[in-house]
Amino acid sequence: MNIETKNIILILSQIIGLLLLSPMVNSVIKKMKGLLQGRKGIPLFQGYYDLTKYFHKETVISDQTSWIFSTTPLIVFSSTLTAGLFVPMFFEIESIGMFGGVILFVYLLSLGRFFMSLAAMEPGSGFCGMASSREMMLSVLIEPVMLLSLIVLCLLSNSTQIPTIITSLVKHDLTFPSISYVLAIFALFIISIAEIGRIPFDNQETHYELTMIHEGMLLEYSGKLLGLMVWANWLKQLIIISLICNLIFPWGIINKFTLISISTGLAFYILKILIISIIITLGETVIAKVRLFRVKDILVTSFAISVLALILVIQELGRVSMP
Amino acid sequence: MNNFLTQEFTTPIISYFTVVLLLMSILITGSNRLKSIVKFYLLQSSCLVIITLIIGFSINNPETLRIAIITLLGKCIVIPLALNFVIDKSQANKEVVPIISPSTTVLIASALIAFVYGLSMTQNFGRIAYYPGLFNAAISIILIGLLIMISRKKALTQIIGLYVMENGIFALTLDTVFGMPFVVEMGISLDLFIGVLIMGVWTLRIKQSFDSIDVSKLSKLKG
Amino acid sequence: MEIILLILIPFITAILCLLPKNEKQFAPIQISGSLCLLLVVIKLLNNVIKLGVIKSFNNLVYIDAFSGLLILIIGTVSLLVSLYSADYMIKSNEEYSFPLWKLKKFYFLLNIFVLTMLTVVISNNIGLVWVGIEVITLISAFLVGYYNKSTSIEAAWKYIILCSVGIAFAMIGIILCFYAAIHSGGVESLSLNWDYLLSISKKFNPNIIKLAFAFILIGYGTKVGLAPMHSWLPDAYSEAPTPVSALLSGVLLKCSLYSIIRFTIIANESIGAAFTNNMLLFFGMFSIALSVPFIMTQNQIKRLLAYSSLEHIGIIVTGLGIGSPLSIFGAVFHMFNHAITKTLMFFTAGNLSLKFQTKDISKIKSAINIMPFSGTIFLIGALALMGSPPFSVFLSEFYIIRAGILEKHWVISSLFILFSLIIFGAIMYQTMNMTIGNSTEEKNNLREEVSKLGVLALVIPLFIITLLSVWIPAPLFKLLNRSVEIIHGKGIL
Repeated sequence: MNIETKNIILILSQIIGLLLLSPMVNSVIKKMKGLLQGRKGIPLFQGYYDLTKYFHKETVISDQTSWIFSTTPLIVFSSTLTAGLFVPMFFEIESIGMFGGVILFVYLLSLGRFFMSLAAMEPGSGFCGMASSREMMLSVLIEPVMLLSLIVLCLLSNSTQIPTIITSLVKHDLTFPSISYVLAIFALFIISIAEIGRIPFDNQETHYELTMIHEGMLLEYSGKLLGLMVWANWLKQLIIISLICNLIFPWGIINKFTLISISTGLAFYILKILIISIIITLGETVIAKVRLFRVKDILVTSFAISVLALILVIQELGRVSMP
Repeated sequence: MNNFLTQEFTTPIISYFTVVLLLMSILITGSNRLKSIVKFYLLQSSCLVIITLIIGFSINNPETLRIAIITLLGKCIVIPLALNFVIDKSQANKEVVPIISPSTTVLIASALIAFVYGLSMTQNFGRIAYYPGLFNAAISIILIGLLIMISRKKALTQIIGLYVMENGIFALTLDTVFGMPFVVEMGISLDLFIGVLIMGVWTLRIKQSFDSIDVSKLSKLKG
Repeated sequence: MEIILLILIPFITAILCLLPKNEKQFAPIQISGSLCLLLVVIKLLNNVIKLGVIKSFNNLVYIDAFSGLLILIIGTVSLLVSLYSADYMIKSNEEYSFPLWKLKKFYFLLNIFVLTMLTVVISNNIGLVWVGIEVITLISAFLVGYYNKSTSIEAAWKYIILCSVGIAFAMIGIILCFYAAIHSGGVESLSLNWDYLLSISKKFNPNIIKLAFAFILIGYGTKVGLAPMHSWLPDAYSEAPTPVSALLSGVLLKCSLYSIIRFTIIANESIGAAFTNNMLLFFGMFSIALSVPFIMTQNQIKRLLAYSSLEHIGIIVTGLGIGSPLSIFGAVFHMFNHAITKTLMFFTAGNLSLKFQTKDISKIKSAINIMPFSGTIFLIGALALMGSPPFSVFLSEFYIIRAGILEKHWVISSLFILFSLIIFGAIMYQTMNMTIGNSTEEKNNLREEVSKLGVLALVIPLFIITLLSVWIPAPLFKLLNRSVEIIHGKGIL
């Protein structure tokens, strides 16, 4: 098997894996939340049922809208999926990460967000417009923090490729993980919660339009387009969770493909995702959603944390390089 | 005595606690609930106690335990209790309209930290300290304390700003000379405890005669 | 023995002042207490002049001529204050209809205040001096806010917060100094002692001492009220009860200045006088310059005096900054003169404002006619304060200017003269408006105006400043000359 075919197979399996796993992860989180709150929770396959339902429904598009409205779901879906290729699930893909690295990763996610908020303003619904302006406010704060904390990790490992960052984290002496690494991960974690739109920043399960952020932007979508949007959101959630869990627990990324290594890698990966999901679920159950104006303060604090991480890492590297 | 706490071993631990010190001061600037500010102050002080123990044992200072106990009593028990008491008495739990908003203050605070660390890289003034990282953090905390004092209107937040600054000075002492002679150390600590009580009394008086603890209302005397 | 008494007498007086059953009983206790204190001070000074330096209590106490001078100032002013407050506090308590315990609190805190100032100046340990100054701040805040009006609470709050921040900065300076000491081979347990620091100061790292001096000057400078850090000063002086204003301006300023000077001596020994002199000159001249516009436009009598204190602090610091023996002699002499003169001025101003029921300058008219005694002394005191002969302030300012010219500080000297002239004019104008002129109000007779003790409180300081302008008693001169020797290394003789 030459390297080209191998890569194609890997990329395809990554795509299929993301697509298949993402509804499941969302359902698992919801199920656990339900259990924690003393309810039975939704069935584990609810995500797939929902998607089937959406794709069988008729799509209604307002005649007031332009091409942006109807193409946005495709753009969002594809850009998110592309971003997903930068983050390893449990195996390394070499070729796709050759260009861009973390910077492209962050901005592919923003591209999707940009089109989403643009499209939300198209039908002229008040709630959609409000939601998209809020989304923009958040993204102004999310993007720099995400980029800064990822750059700290890049500086620590001398590379902008996420797989390389993860493998070099394994090589580091882990008895004392560097303090800037801890800070960067901390900031990244907070910002990831905001990025995937969960409590305390946004409540995905709200039925009250006034408080919606992400959901608010989808109000005017229906049928297949809604299905794509929802799926893209789940994809993003899975990608961010994989990023976080692989950065916190950088072990178990495989690059040799035997049956045993694949199955242990997969098992390890699922375990990591479960841990992060449990943390998120616990957070959602314990913490209440904060007011929109306080969201800003939390995000600015995590910005300060990432700046602190950057300062410390620069100092650390400076001390090493100075004779 | 063969000391197992070598510089190589303690430096990473100290750097962790240093960062917690900095984080707490950032959180204090970013918060506008007085009770949680006091909690952050408490955490910061507890960190200082731990740092005291680590540095003290690593340089074999015989007075380590005494200093740590005084600090624990004062900064972690007396001062937070007194502050909480004043908060309850003056029924002011929230800084509603600060002079500079919390998020801006956080940004300024991180700029200050960046400034101090940047300065330390060119000037290398941290070389007089046991742990250069802690030295930089101490100076940043002193500046952040000042920032808290000028960015908030409530009398209580000003007191807390003063005490954050004092924590910075304490960290500076730990990192450069470790401890003062016994009499002085006792005097300083006693001073701080009395200070918080007396400032608390004045806060309550402000509350009594201005009906709030907002110091921006104290503007009658000019010229 | 004298040292124990020095501490014990104010303490016992403070306790005794909690006992009285009516307001007339405070005066005898307080006055006899401070008389005893003054006697002890004189006995102690006698020893100091004989022995040179007194060290005791395991090196915690160190009294030389310079601390002796400060002790003398504290003793004298506290006696004057006791004489004055006997009458004044009863009147003002009636005016605000305060209960008796307020008076008890006042006298108690007053004595503790004096006590802490005494411990500051006799302490050998610069760390303990720091503690003392912080304690003074906390105690005197209660005295500043004694009337519990909204304005006095404001003044007290500003005072407590600003001074605490300043003193925190001074702490950094002390830490740096301590660091420098133990890293140049000093013994750790002694390295905050003033005499020990002085003896090893040649070995200090000069950069650290420079930094430490800057921190201490800024830090204690806030407490002194040097120019950019002075904003609490007029508020506190104008809102405090008059006896307290006199103590704050007359004594507390000097105590804080004392701690700066003590450290300046160490810094001079270690890095040479040029650096410290320049900084002192800058802050001194800036204080004088900044007080000018505020004095010219002032409309409150006690704030006027407060800004004049700012000016005089500037004069003292400038005198120290010029750095020749003569100017330092002028400066320490001025410390004494200013304490007495400013006390006198605050007392008369207090009488005026109590009589006219206002602190507003424009509402006080024709004071000489209405209050012949206080009004006249107010006018004379203002002349003395501005440095006109034949009063001692003239002498000390003259020494400083002369030293400035001899040392070829042309710009400083001419600015000094210019500012003094402007301030002279401004204060004379304000005082004339208050004292001279016709009034419809009927004349008081002397008996109603002041009590016997009140007369004493005004006559004694007037006598002292007049006497000092023509003749400095030999012991006082020795004390001053020794102080100059301590600060500069050699005296004027």
